[in-house]
Amino acid sequence: MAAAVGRRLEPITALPRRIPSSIKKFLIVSPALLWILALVILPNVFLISYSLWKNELGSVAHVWNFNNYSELFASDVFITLLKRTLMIALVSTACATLIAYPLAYIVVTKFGRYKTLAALLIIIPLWVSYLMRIFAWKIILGERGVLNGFLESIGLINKPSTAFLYSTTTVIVALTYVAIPYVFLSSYTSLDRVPKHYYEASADCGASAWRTFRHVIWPLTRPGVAVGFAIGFVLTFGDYVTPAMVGGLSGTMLGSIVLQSFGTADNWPQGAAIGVTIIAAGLLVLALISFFTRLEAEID
Amino acid sequence: MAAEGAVRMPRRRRESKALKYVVVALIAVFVVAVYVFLYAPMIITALFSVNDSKIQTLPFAGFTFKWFTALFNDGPMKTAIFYSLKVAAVAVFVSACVGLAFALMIDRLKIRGKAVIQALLAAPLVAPGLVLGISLLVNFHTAKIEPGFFTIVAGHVSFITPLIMFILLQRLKTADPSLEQASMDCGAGPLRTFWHVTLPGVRVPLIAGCLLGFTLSMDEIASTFFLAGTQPTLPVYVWGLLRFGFTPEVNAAFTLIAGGSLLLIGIAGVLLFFSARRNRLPEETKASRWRRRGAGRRSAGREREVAPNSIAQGA
Repeated sequence: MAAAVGRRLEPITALPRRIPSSIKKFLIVSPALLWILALVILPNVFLISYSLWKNELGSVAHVWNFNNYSELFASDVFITLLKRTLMIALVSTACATLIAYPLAYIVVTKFGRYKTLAALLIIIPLWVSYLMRIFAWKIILGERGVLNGFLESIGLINKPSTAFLYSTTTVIVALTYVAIPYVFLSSYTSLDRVPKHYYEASADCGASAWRTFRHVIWPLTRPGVAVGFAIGFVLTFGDYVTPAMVGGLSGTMLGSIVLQSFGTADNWPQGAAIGVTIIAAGLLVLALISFFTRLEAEID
Repeated sequence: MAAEGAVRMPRRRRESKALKYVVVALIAVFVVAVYVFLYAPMIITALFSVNDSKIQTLPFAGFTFKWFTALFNDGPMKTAIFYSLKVAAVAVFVSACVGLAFALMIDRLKIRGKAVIQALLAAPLVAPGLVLGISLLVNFHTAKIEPGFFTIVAGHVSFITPLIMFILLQRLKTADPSLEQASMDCGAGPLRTFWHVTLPGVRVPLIAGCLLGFTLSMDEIASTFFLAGTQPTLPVYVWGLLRFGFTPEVNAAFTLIAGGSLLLIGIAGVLLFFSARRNRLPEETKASRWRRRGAGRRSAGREREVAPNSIAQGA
């Protein structure tokens, strides 16, 4: 009888009633667990294992030690790249946040019934080829590019400038561009969840728009912004496509050496060690952010 | 905002009208600037795909379709496009089946650690493509699987499945469980109920999720680069072209793919919008539904005596 009730409430999960419900549940969950094991856990376990193994002329010797890491952190090139990657990721995500959050606030408070459309228009670029969006920056900023052509035609400069492309700044601009939709999505979702009457109540109590924002809206939406910032940081920190396209030598990032290690350099353990470093940095930022922005008041 | 309403504060009255116009103008400029920033790259690529010059700069040289014709006469490029389509189709099919199964499992099953399972399933969706690519590469290498079609599909499936799953979970949250109960009452088994009740209920978000997943798969470069082996998908092939000099043909390819992607997500968006509108329950119904669910959980024993279908099935 109990099984019949169970079946009534959870029709899809029905199995023969002889099996105890805990085992039954485990059987139903097991495909998902296998999936997670094969596509999430094992890949990361092997990545960490590789980072602890030894590279011998392109093949891998299964000797366990931390040499890959100690070599990396003793190398000036790696430290420089690590610092630069951190800087680029932090600055571009911060810029993206400074643009996306005010925009989300404007969209939510001023756009009325068109806010969903306005929000969709920000997010749609995410579904347009990443390569295309980055490559377009090369067309715009290149020596014979659109920006130079435009500046020349209005007489601001008299010969094409090479300053726009292949620099750290270019990478920051392109990555800001990449991160905006992610930060926007997260900020918009949290801003949209704040009920309209919170604004009204605050204004009725005599608060200006700024005070309402500072003391009501910002504390409520800060966690959403933080999540957006974290996603943006993780994605920009591990990027190699953008530096390769618009970065030149001074825009090289950690991802670029991972690409080399797994490609021409054929040093998988080193690449794996850098990969693990990237994952660790991402997790560290996530942990810091979730530690500092616990939700103070739950929105009903 | 509400401050303009009935209660006018002295502080607001002091603001001059001119200042207000300036603020509004500044806000408008900001908003327009962001949209231009987001769309300029795409528009410029599209413009240069019909520009009659090998050099990509202003002013425009004239209108031409020759880059598109060149694209269709380019053997390797066409091979890459068809390979990408094949990868995307297989990856989306697998992701749709698995994503639906997982979404139903997560929605229906009451177990501890569900949040952990969801987070782990979502990990490939939020991980940078580089990390996903190298971790799957070493995984398959350890399992002695050569990079190729299978590994690319596996990589794409790993992040399209959670995408479809989360879209379906959104829909399942507002689905009415009494429909399935009614189907069981009428004597349909779990399979028939699934085919005739559950599946039609999530059909629209499922299709929308598939379209979104398809565009993601067509565009993926970061992880595919590591998993591709010898035969490149379109983005990997184009990436190679871009590094060793290129022709505006690439712009044409991008424009076609972007146009296709936008069309697909447009369809997906319209489908999701109308599905959400049709399925939105009135507030009152929703409340009673929650009450019903809560009652079912709290007093299953009492309900056992009155629930007609348990009698029918027990018999």
